[in-house]
Order: sequence, then structure tokens, then C-alpha cells
Amino acid sequence: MDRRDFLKGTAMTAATLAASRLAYGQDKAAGTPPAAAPGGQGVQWDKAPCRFCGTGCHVQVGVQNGKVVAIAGDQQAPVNKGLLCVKGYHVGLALYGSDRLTTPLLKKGDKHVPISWEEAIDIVARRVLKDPKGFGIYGSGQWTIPEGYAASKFVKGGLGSNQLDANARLCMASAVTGFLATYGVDEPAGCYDDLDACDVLIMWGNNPAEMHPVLFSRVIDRRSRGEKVTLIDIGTRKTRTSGFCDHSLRFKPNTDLAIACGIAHLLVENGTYDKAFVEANCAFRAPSEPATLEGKAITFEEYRELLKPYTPEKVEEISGVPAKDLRMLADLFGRRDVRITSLWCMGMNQHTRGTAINNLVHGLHLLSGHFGKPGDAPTSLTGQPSACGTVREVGTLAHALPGGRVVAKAEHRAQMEEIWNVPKGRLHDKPGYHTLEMWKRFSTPTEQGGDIHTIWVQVTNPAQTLPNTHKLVDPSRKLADKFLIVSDVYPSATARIADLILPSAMWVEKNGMTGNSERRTQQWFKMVRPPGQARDDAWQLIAVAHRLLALGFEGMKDKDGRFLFEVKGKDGKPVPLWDFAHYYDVNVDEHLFEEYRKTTRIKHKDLAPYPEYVKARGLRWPVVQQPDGGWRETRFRFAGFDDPYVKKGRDIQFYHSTTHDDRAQIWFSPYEPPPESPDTEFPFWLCTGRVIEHWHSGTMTMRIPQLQRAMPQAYVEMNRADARRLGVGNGDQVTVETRRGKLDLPVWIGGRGEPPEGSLFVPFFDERLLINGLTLDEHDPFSKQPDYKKCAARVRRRELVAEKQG
Amino acid sequence: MSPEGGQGSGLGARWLHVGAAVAVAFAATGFFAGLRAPEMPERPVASDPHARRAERAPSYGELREQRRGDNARMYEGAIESLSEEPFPVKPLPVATPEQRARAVAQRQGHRAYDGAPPTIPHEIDQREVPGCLACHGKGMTLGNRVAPKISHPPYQSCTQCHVVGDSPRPLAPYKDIPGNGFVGLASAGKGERAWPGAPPTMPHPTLMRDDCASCHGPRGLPGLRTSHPERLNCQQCHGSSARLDQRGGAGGPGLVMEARP
Repeated sequence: MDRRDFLKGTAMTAATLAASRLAYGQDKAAGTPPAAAPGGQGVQWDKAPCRFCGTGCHVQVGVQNGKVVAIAGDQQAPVNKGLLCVKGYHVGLALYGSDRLTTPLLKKGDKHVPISWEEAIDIVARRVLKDPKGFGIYGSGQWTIPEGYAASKFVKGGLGSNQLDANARLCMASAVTGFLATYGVDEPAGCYDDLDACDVLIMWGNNPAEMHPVLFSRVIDRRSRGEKVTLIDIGTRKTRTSGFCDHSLRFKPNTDLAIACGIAHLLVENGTYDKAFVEANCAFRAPSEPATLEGKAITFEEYRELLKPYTPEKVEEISGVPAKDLRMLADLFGRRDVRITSLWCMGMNQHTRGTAINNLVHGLHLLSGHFGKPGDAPTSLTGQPSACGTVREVGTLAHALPGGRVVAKAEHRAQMEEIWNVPKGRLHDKPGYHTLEMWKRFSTPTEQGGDIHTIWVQVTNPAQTLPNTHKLVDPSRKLADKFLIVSDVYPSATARIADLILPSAMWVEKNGMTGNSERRTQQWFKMVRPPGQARDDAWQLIAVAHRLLALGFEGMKDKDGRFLFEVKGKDGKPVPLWDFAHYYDVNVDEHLFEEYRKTTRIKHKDLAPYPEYVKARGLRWPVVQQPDGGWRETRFRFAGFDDPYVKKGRDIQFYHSTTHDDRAQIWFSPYEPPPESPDTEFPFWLCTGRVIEHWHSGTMTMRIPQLQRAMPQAYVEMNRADARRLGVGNGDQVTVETRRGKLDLPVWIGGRGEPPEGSLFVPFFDERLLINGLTLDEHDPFSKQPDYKKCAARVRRRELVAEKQG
Repeated sequence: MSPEGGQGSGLGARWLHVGAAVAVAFAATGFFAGLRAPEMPERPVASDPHARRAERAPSYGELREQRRGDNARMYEGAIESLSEEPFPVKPLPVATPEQRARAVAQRQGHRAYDGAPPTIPHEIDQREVPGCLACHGKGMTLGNRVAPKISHPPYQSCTQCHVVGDSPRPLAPYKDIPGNGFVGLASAGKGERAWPGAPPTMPHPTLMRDDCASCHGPRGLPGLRTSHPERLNCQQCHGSSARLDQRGGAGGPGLVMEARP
């Protein structure tokens, strides 16, 4: 036997051993797991929306002996029709990572020590009492609707402040401002049914093959049925999605605005825009001085003049997209016989011109009349399971109140004071700090204006996901009077640096409701017990509220002196919800939801009563009661054939128009260079994003063996030519550096995607390789959403000498 | 046809045989030579830095070495298997309990629970549209490797549900990743029989498993194969489960439970 055979043999033995350990995601070292009962006997199945992204697939959860043992796609679910993605099929494993947090932990010295829930709740309450105005709550679109509503009531109704914001600020905010500036009301008019009907699907900076796989296959599987769908990828790097596309257009970062203006220019100059649609339903807008979300009204002639510079040749020069491809896009938009759906997500939202590019893409659809018919829709997707349902609809944002209200409007504050039965003037009229500002002030010494002394983080992981974390997060950990509270299920990057950790129940360990990207509100029931002392996030809020009440804080009383979160049992007596033993004596979710439901009518986002959602696999609002007492969902908003709020006889009515004349706004916004571009010192573009296996910061998916093994660590993706120039090959370690930080990463060439020369891509899921120490905290002026998709970077080959020493 | 013509074509065929034999010999020599490790030592690293950084095309031997996982030896015995005819489909021996246990264990190795999409036991192209169906579309046997036919309709985006079971190079897993205590639903076992000898019912859902031959046909694992693969209409005799197929029924998927307090 030579050395080669010996090595092979050894490797085979090791691989076989490893494979045998991997069976059922178990490691034999961790003890042989008890075998589940065979034959599927005693398995209880129930529905729940998937825990992960904003698609909102329904799964069937199989529970046996109090544990989740299997997942199946829900065949009755209109979103996914029985199919899931690899994350969805493994969502049940997210509950069982071996390092689940099971007891409250307080930081003492440099250690976290277990404390009782009573002590933990008391600590949180006393941090509030220190200065209620400086106590911030930071959540996310992973809050269920009732949890988000409880948080909003706690902060806005209870503390009388507005220091409440959410991770959706980093994710969806520019989509919101785009909808508001264009239609006067948030969220898409179309829905996923458009994907079944469109002839052309344009993906703007979007990689749904990895990020929204179920929606992507809903489109491409039509090809298997012999249907023709033209897929167009407009992006800055080649992705898995590009491989399925008929046209793949590569543009230079930030120049999507020029492309959109170029298409509009051609539509106007060729006369191929939809004159009838525009005359009946649209008006024109341009940026004003000073810049506002409303902008200024312009005439069609002014609009045409503003577009004049964006000739195909000029746009080619700016963006790198060939003029013939721009003409191809303009020709498609100019046709009335094809149905065009646009999809976008973080590419357009995480953009310092996020609001502008959202407006421009809506504008293209309005200008060309590709709107309001099945298959004709500009549709933004969300990244979190309830970014729409909770953050956007409940309004867990610094400027918002439930049901599309804003704190700045006295009328809206009065309405919420009445619904919450709190004294007049309880609600504060000044918006709180948006996410970046909240964290900046938390990381600034109090005497230098850092007036946020405590942040309570629930259901998200800002130490990994905020941009430029060295500036926004790290300094706070060195300031003695700043206190970080984290409710989480695992020791995430944020939990590990927290002063107080609260163990949370997750997903089917509690009741819940979420709202997906197509306005679909979904519901599920608790199916298994949370581990140890882990408890619902809503319970944590209510328990702190009650502790504040006990400590004499007036804000937690309504104007009749009752507890703000009082729920009466069947016997008419208040249920002691703050005692977790009694939390499930009533369905708290149902009580919170029914109260929230009252707030949703002013923006025509009507919701059905709770029991309707128990029966359904989600319903799309507005859900309107019919003469027969039944509840009907709405698929196509503003469209006369489907939306009950459109006046009879009208094809289209934008009934929340910013100009109160039923017109949507077609915006012009100029292309402008980004705040940071590659230069001689930092010659590369750096883009960040996700991969199919991992969701958000990977806290859950990195603990699922099948997903973790398939995508075990972060990497830097670069073009082959750049790698050759640097003298690095696959797997070589390089140092990626920006003006804000640096990180060592292995190179992956020809891996998941392929950036063009001069650009890099790094996924952000890996808590050990935190790319957000490098990203830019520059943000959109209206949405305050930062740009994670482009900044200037340089790459150095890690010297072999350093390698040996390391 | 004239005898001369026949003779003439016979002569041509003989030359054709000789030519073909030469071609096969060349191909075989090339193939086996290619499989062997390069006998020449690697050229010493050039002093020219550009040459050192330039990519070098890998040899066949290296390519084989690079191929990892279960497919690494896929071509061994390939030539013999080419002569095996898939038709006519012949009855198979009834699987033994040992074969069955082995098959169940093998399936568990690639699945988080019974019904989970299996992970991929070989390397794939991570970026492009997957070419999975080239082998798995109809199923394929190559030497001692079997590419099972997919058990569900040919969806286009295979990597939506199936990920590689081993870290794609050059990425490597961390050594101290927390474990996971999830215990997956075990194999459903055999179907129920109304009496000894009655055809068993299907013990698992048919969703995503609607092509029975994928697992139970002649290319399925020995412990799962049916004794009568020549019969193609499986549901003629084997009933599916309404409960497992989410068609309602007590406690099954698809049933919405009553609102709880």
C-alpha cells in the first residue's frame, strides 16, 4: 500500500464515521437519541406559517410526545401549495439547538449568571423608572402581530414616548416610503397571484431563487407546464436566479435609477406609454427643495424635460447596461399585450436612494399601465415573516401608531388614546429615534447627548445586523450607565454582549399571528412547550408593564385606573397574565388582535375576526364582511374588479392618493452618485446579502445541521480575474477592509454567485465573521434605511508568513 | 441484394471492425492512463511570478481525486453496467428484514426526519441551473452507483429543497457548532394489511413521493424494492392515506383544530 492509498483509506474511514454520526442530525458524542415512534403513530399535525422569511408559506407541523418531529408543506396553503424550501422543511429543528436559552441571565462582572424571572422583570422595570423617555425598545418583523401591538401599547400608550423601532427599518423602510409617496398608503396592490399570470417577470436587484425560493419556483415551474414566462434579471452580480433568466443585465452599483429613468424616457419619447391610464389615474412629481417625501407637482411636459438627459446611450455610459437592452425593456413596457410583474427586495430598499428607486419602478408600471390587472404589478417582497403584518401595519416604528397612523397627527393620537382608553395627551407628538439614531445615541455617552440609556431588544440581532457596528453598537458596551436587555432564544451576537438576557419562547412554542408580503394575515396555535423557563415575548412585555404598575408607574393604568393590558376571563374577573402559570388561561393573542383590529379601518386595511384566521391559511386584507356574513379577502387592491373600496364603475381608484384626487404619483428622480464609491485606495465595491440556507443572522439556521453543513461559513466571492490579479485561489484567506473595519475571509471563486470584476460579495449570516463591521451607515434621507449593498473596499492577500504564525 | 454486394459490405464491415477496435483501444488507453496519477513530477514552480499565479488545468487523475463523497468512484464497474438491460422488468426477491433495516438506516443518513427532502450526497455546481435531471430525471445506474429517479414531478429549481450534505469546498464547518437535539420522525415502517396476504396500504404521504418506482422500483434500495416491479399501477392495490395526504380526517394534517382557550 502506498502513501496515497493509505491516505485515501483513512479519509474514507473518517468520512464513513462522520456520515454515520450525521444520521438524523445527531452526533453520537451527544448521546444516542431516543427513537421516535415508528409508523407516524400518535403524531398530531397542525398548521403554522413558516418561521423564516416574508413569503409566508404554511407548513404542517407534526408533534409527537410534546416535540416537533416532522414538517410537511401545507397543501391547502395558497402561497406554497404544499411546497417549501430547504429552510422551511427544516424549520422544526430551529427549536432544538443544544444551547437554547432557558433561564434569565444577568451579567455580573464578565459572566452571565442565572437569576429568577421575578428579579429579571424587576430589573427591566427599574431601568424604565430611571428615565422612561430614554428607554428604547428595538424589535423586528419577527414579532408576531399581537407582540408588536403589545410593544406599541407599552411604549406609546404606557411610557408616553416613541422610542420604539424595528429591524424592518434596515429592511423595508424604503419600500414603505415608496408606497406612501406613490399611492399615499403602504403595501403592494398586487399579490402572489400575479406570479401565476405574468408574461414577464423583472427582478430588480433581486435573487429570489435563493431568497424567496417558493415564489421563484411558483414562476419557473410554469415553464414545466409549457407556459412561456420571460425572466429578466437586473442586478449587480450573477446569481442563481440569473441562470434561469432570459436576459441578465449587469449594472454598476447605484445606477438603477438611471436605468429606470432611461426606460421612462423611451416610453415617453416613443409615445408607447399608456396615455389613457395616465390621464385617468396619475399625476407627476419631482423632488422639491427642501427635499420632502411629498415632493412637488410637475406637469407631463416638465416630466418629459427632466427625462431628456436619460437617452439610452447616456444611460449605457452611466450604468454599463447596453442601450439595446434598455430599448428591449422599454419595448416590453410599451406593449399592452404582455403582463409585467416587477419584484424587488433588499437590492432596491437597502439603498441610499431607496425611496427614489422604489418610486421610479412604481412609476414605470403606472406610466405604462402595467398595473391593476392580474400579472401586471410592481411588488416589493419582505425579508421577515411579519415585516408587513407587525412593523408596517401595527406600526412598531418611531413615527407610527397602529393602523397606519402617525404620532405627528393630533387626530391620530386622539383616536389611539380613545382605543387604549388612556388620558388625553398621554401620546407623545414627537417621533422617536429611528434605528440608526437610537443605536448611535445608545453608543454615545449620556453627557454628550446620548439620551438613550437602555435598549430592550426582542426578536432580532442588531450586534450582527446593524451596519457599521463598530460605531453603532460596540461603544455602548464600554459605557457604565448603558444597559442592554436582550430577549432571545439562542446566545446570539447581541445576547452575548447584553447586560440582561431573557429566554424567549419561539414559533410554535407560543400562539402567534404574522402578515406576509402579499397582505396575508396568518395565525397559529401553541403546539409544544418552550424549554426550561423560556417565555413568550408578549408575556415579558406584559409582566414588565404590570411590575411598573406595582411600582406605582401611572402610565400602565388606563384613565379608569385599570391595568393597560387587562384581560377578563370567563368569570368576568381580570386574569393575572403577569403570572406565567395563568398566561394561557385565556388566548392573549386573540384579545390583543381584536383590540388591534379596531385600528385598521382608516387605511382600509380591514381585518376579519380572529376565528376567521383560525380556519384559513391566511387572508389578504382588506377582508370585508359580505351580506351573507362571510368574510372576503382582496387580491388586487385599487382594481375595480376586485377591491370593494373602489367606486362602482371605476377600473382603478387610488383612494388614498396623496393629492386626494384618486391619482397615484409618477415620480422623476435623478441619478446621483453614491456616497462612497471605489477609489484608488479602496478599489472594490462591497455588497452583502443572504444565501438560501441561512435566514437573517443565522441564529436559528446555523443550529440546523443540514443547513449549517450545506453552508458552513461566510466567504468572499470575487471575480476570477480579480483573484488571479491578487494571486489568490479558492479557499485562500484574504483580508477585506473598508474605512470602517476589516475582516479575514476565505475566497470562493465560481461559488454561489459571480460578481463582475471590481466587486465583492460577502453574506452576513455568519456570527463569527461579522461583515457589518465594514458596512456603511449612510442612509436614505426619507426612510432612514442604510445601504448594505455598496461601499468601497480593498482586499489583501493574507501573507503566508502571517498564516504560519496564526 | 446480390452476393457481390453482400461480400463487398462484409469486407467494409471487417475494416470498420478493425477501425473501431483501434479507436476503442486508443480510448481505453487514454482513459486508464488518464486515471493514473501523473508519473511526471509536477513541474517545478516557475520563478516567474505570473506563471505561479496562473491557473493550471487539472489532470484527469486530479479531477478524480477532487471528486469527493459517494460519487468519487462512480465510474468503477461502469463499463460492465452499460450492458445491463433495464427491460424486460423481472420480478425481484422479497426484501429481507436486514435489507430493509439497512435501507431505512441509509435513508436516515440523508434526512432530518422521514419525509424531509434528502440532502445531496455528492458535489454540485453551486451557481448554475442545476443539471440534476440529467441523472435523476429518469434514474441511472453507472457501475455500482445508482442515481435514483426523482420521486416527485420535475420541478425546475432543485436546490430550493435539496442542499449538499457536506460543506462545499473551499468552505469548512466550524468545529464547535452547537448540537441539535431534534429527533426526527422515524420511518413509517410497513403499511397495514387487512389480513395476512392483503396488499399493504401506503404508510407515508404521497406528496412529493408520487413516483413509487423511485424508491420501490428495481433501482431503489434493495430493502425497499417491490417484488413485482412489472406492475405499474401501484394504487390499484395499495391505498393511500387521506390523513397523511392532508385530505382531512381525525388528527391528520389539513385538519384545523378547534379554537383553543
